[in-house]
Amino acid sequence: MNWFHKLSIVTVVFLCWFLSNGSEPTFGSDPIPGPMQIGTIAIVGATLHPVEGTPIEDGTIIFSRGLITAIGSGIPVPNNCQVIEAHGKHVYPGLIASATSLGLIEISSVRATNDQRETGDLNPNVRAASSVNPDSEHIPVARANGIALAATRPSGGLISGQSVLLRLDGWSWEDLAVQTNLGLEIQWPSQAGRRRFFEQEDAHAHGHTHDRAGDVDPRAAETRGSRRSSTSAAKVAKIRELFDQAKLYCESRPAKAEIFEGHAPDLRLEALRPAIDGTVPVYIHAEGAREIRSAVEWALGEKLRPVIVGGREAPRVASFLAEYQVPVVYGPVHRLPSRRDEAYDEPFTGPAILARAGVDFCIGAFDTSNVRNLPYHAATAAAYGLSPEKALESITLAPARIFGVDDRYGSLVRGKSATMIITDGDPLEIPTQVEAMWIDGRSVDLTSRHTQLRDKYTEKIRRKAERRAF
Amino acid sequence: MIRGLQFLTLVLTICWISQGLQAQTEPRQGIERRTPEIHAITGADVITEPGETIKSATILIEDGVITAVGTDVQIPANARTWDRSGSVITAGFIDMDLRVDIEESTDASRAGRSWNRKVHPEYQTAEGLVIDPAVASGFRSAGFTNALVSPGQGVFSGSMVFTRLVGGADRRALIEDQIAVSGGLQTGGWGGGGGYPSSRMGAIALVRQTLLDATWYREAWNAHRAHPDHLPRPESNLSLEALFPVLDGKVPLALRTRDVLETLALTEVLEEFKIKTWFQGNGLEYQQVEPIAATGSPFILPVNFPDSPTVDGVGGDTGITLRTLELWASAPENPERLRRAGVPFTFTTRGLDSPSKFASQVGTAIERGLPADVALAAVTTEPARLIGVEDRFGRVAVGKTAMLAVFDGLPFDSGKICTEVWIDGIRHENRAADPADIRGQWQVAVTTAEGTMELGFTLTGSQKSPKITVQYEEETLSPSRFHYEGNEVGITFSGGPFGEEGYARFGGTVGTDGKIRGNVASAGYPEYSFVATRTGDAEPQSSTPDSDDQVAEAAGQDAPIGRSGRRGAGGRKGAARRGQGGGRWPGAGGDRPQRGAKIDSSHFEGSIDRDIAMPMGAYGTTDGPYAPAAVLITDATIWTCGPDGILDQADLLVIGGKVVEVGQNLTATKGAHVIDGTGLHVTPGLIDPHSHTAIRGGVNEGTQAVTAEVRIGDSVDCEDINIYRQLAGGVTTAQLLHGSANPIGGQSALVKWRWGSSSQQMKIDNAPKMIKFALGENVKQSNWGNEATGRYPQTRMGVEQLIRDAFHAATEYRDTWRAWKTADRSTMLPPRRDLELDTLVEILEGDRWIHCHSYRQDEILMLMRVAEDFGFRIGTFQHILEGYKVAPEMARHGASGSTFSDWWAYKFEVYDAIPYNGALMRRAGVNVSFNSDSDELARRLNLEAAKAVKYGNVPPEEALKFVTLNPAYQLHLDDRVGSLEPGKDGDFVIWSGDPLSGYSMCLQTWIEGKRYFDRDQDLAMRTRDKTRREQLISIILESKMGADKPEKDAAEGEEGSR
Repeated sequence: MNWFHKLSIVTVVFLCWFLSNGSEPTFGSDPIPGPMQIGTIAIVGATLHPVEGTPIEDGTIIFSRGLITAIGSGIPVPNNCQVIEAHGKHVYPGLIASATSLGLIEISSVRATNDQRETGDLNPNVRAASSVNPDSEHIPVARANGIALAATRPSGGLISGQSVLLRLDGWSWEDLAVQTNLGLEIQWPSQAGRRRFFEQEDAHAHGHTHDRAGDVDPRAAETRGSRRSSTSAAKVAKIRELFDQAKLYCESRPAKAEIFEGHAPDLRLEALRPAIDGTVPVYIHAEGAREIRSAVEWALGEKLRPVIVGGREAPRVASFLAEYQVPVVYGPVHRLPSRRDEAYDEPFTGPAILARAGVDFCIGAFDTSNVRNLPYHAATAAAYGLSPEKALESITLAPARIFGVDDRYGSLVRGKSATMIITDGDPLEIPTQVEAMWIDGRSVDLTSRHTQLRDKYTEKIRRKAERRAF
Repeated sequence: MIRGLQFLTLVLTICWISQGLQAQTEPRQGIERRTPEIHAITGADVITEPGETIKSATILIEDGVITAVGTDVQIPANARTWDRSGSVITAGFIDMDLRVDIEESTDASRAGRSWNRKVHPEYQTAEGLVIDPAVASGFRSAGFTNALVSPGQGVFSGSMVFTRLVGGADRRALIEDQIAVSGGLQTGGWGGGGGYPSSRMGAIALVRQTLLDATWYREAWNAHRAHPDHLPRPESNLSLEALFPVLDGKVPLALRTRDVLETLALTEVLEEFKIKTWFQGNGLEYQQVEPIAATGSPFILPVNFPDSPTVDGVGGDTGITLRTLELWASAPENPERLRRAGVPFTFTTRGLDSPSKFASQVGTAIERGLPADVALAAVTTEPARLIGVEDRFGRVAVGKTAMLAVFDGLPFDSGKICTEVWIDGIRHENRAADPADIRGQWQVAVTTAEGTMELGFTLTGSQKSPKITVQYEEETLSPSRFHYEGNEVGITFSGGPFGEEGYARFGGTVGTDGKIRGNVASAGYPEYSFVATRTGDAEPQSSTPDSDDQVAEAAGQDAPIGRSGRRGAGGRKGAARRGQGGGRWPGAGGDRPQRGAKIDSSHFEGSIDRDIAMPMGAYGTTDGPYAPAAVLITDATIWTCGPDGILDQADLLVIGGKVVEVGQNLTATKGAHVIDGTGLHVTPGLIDPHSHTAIRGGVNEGTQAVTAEVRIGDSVDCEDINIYRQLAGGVTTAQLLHGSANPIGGQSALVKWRWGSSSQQMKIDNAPKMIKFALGENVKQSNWGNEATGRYPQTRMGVEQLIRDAFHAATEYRDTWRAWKTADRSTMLPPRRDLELDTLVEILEGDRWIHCHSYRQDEILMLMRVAEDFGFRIGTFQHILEGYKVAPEMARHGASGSTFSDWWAYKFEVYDAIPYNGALMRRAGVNVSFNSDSDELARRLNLEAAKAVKYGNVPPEEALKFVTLNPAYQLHLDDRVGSLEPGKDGDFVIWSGDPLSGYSMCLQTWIEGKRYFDRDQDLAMRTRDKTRREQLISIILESKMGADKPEKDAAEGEEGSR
């Protein structure tokens, strides 16, 4: 556990104290990764939800060597096959979380456990993949609610680094990585800096307010606003400039030349090469309509492949995005409206508006420790106008498509990866339980730090009650 | 302001009124001035008082007092006569709110004064009071002769004094001392200081405690004086003594306010003291005019109405909210709306860039309905009445002090200016006579040893500061500089006959014959003399300066004095930086032209008769909630959360705000609103037992570790849009908690989200008493960075000791009061009432319930044991993320738990938080609720409840109780809310489907039989608000489009006028 060593002495002492207090070794013993699939597995009797195509009642799905070999109803089950009876159950593709920092942050307030943001504004070369902690307690917690794949994104500055697409089971980050370089993360500067008098009450449109130890000073927010407006153009110029430099650099210097004419590579410029040659998309974090428009115009002008991330006002520019065929990672759905005048359900109706306009979008929870709530973001979008089918797609096939892995993930189709969950109902409904999960055909342990602590203290409550009974 | 250093300059500049600056007791120096001060002002229309005008009257002034006013006044032979035909004369204006900056005391001991540096009612504003001459001049230019001056800082700031606006070292500046004591809800520090209070509620608590202390202080001293041998001497405290006249109702407490919520909260708090209050208003009073009128207090109103928001189409102008627009559109109606409600008020220039804006701003208010007489009264008779000097001030009448303002038209008419004021019978000219017009073509003859040299001057531009070009033999020489002041000119240029090296400098005097005579100094030549003769006019001037500019220019003449003066410091230690507190203008010289185009008031015809929405802006309401006599919902699935469980195809009947019956086949009473509930679900209104929504001015009073005296109830913000958003998620009741910065925080407010009501109306009547406690990382300030290591406690060990110590203090305090009840008065000083300990005693007595922010099992156990040691029970542990580890112990103690399913691992103490917590605590017999602690999560508490089903298999019916009946129990409101049972409040929510399903939507939310949210109505309001928004934007655009030169940068300068 790498991060463990980085903790301050004090914290280590705390941890030891905990460890010595617990009789069961619950710490650091997160579930063992699933073994490679040996033999063939068939799930029979369940309602299959392939996402591509309509649900199959009383269906059969067969997978072997990590790939789906057959799906349908009335399919013969081969011999020597492990059969899982799942009558009354449902099978869905594993869910895909499209905006997390899984593996990069353990405890956000403990600096030593936070690896999400490198210092400086321009860090295209840093890569999330190689810093993902496969033993993070957050991974089994997310997995327990059906999340099989997750995009982990670095943050901060203007160009934050390279994101990674993870499968949430494995021994090392190399095992976890589905796409080591998912794309380049760009934080588009906000242009909405012009705050006006009497808008103080609108300045603190904050979201979560846990642990109100400190207050948001609306005046400070206002000052920040005006400062932002004066520097946003300069920030945009910084992004443009780096790409301009990189284009020349990439043209004049062959790819993969470690040493070219005796010069070491410029890591920053080199890192832009895959974005410039179109190998990977640029994930541009932009919220406002103005920012989305200017970011997209810039990216397309540079012949990049933009994907808007966040996209709070993407619904306001839906036809623009549809026309340019720019996908959106929309979310979170569970947030406050951005302004006093906005409808209370403005965040909820966004996906329905994007769907109607024909924008390719997926829904993100934009969360890490609570990314397990992803399906409920999709459910709220469904409550406010998105079709339930589209809602399901927005957390399965749609992100797979945007990430370019829909040939392998996101739906239950013959030839695709056997990455799926068995549930006792609709995963978008909170009471539904995820009962089993396979990632690439490997059976995944759904226990977590949370279930371990639950089991330990259920025992305490049971014993106390027993003692009282006698 | 001015100090001794500048005194010489000052005296030289304004020696002609030196008589007026000297006090009678001052020894004379040199020859005594015996000029008769008898003046007759003739020919003007005199408004003797609002509504009374004498046409073409004469005012006779003798030694500063008006001795005659009328049309047939005999003018004495020794009177100086001033013909003011065509002018209008009123009493000099009185600004009721001129603030001076004072500095926070840095004295280490604060001997004899309040422990709190923001409490200094003893501050003597008169002491060393100096008004910057430039500031005074600026006021006079707007017709003001007098002002009520107060310190701008402090919770109790100091005395308010009535002055005249001569400015500088005016020893007669003070007219009346101790008019009022001023104060305000000052938080944080100034000059980098900090300390208690840091929040609005903290400041309110400090006001209350200080007034109680003053009451106690007097009693204690009386007791000590009666028994000096037996009873110990109380502390000596000048701050508290200074409040005696306030307590006795002899002197009002004048309170600065920043919004209506502050005004009303202060009114609520001050009710227990029988004192007189004034409010130094904020211009927003019209938002809640009825409760404002009910205060019975006079208001000192600013007229700094906001400029119109900048509409430029960028980004669809989404940044301009309807609220911003409404605030802009309604602000000028404030005075008239208050007048209609019978609120007495006066005006102040405070908040304006310059007093020169005052007339046009009041003019706008008049255009928007305010009678001009009332406007005039608000700066003349009303201030005089409030200050208690109406026998001498505020009117133009025999026997009154000669304080006059002379206008070249009616005072608030567009373009009319105040040409002069009279202060104590001394004339103060606002506009110096224009200097001679020397523009034109001049022929210049320079007499040299060799003969006469000819040059030409051409003077163009404004009369006051013309520009010059110099001609020599068909050539124009440049650069040329020109200085013109009084009748002296100075001209500098190079080239021409004087060569390219060095400069020729012409210095001359404009003579009575119109010629300019003088000498020429230059390099390489001896000094010559010259004579310049005008040979022709300059080309006609295209633009004449308008009257506003003239005011600015006239006032500007004083600016150099003001600038040098302001560098000085004040008269005494601790009062070093006296300045113009409220106004920011740099003397009157800093006048800036009005930005943007003035909006034509005709656009707002009838606007004054509109109802103001509560709250203003989007989703506000003017007619309150829909409130039928009865409501009947039929054939719905009703989650009663009571003994009846979930009823299918059932009916719910609410009459008079109460649930009357739940069951089958109920019949509607007359006038009942009937809802067909087929396919719908009905639940009790959701209850959020942990909310920080709708708290204005700070959620934490984080300056002290124990702040049991502060009350969230003092800063409930009825205007928070999140109230409406939460109604749209089915929330009807909430506990608004103090933050978690302190081991012992402040008192909670229990509210119902009655959107469209005042803050006071949102609070639940006779609500049970609650208080916030907190443990762990927040109170240790663990995550506040490496600097926050000073405050006790820094460890969980210290937290326990601090809490124990507080309860020991409370026990002792309770015992003291018990003893006092029966004590022989000669043996005991009266005990001091301490609001903090009062609150802790309530906890000891079981009258107030603790809601304790807590995470780890150790601290949870600790607090229960501390409570048991002191003989009380903990009400509810909040967050309580490790509650599952000590759930049996909690059950045995009798504590409830209010938690949530998510939110783990964001800090170290929540690393063991698990979503099964709620279900496990419930299994152990603990009453469990879920809460939001978030404006956002509060919108979907029903889904949060569903997590109890997912994580721990709590039956759905029981899970919903986590956000209905169980929190009601924790808030001791379970006899009123939390379930749909006969007799309980008619608070319910109609859902489109199963409330625990993510696909369901909240359709309607009702509180006590009134509908506060309705999805259909919401959609209609969106259209309504959009229409209104576009209407107001059109008004702005019409005016801006018509303006000949659009102000591009107007937005930049529009920093809050408040």
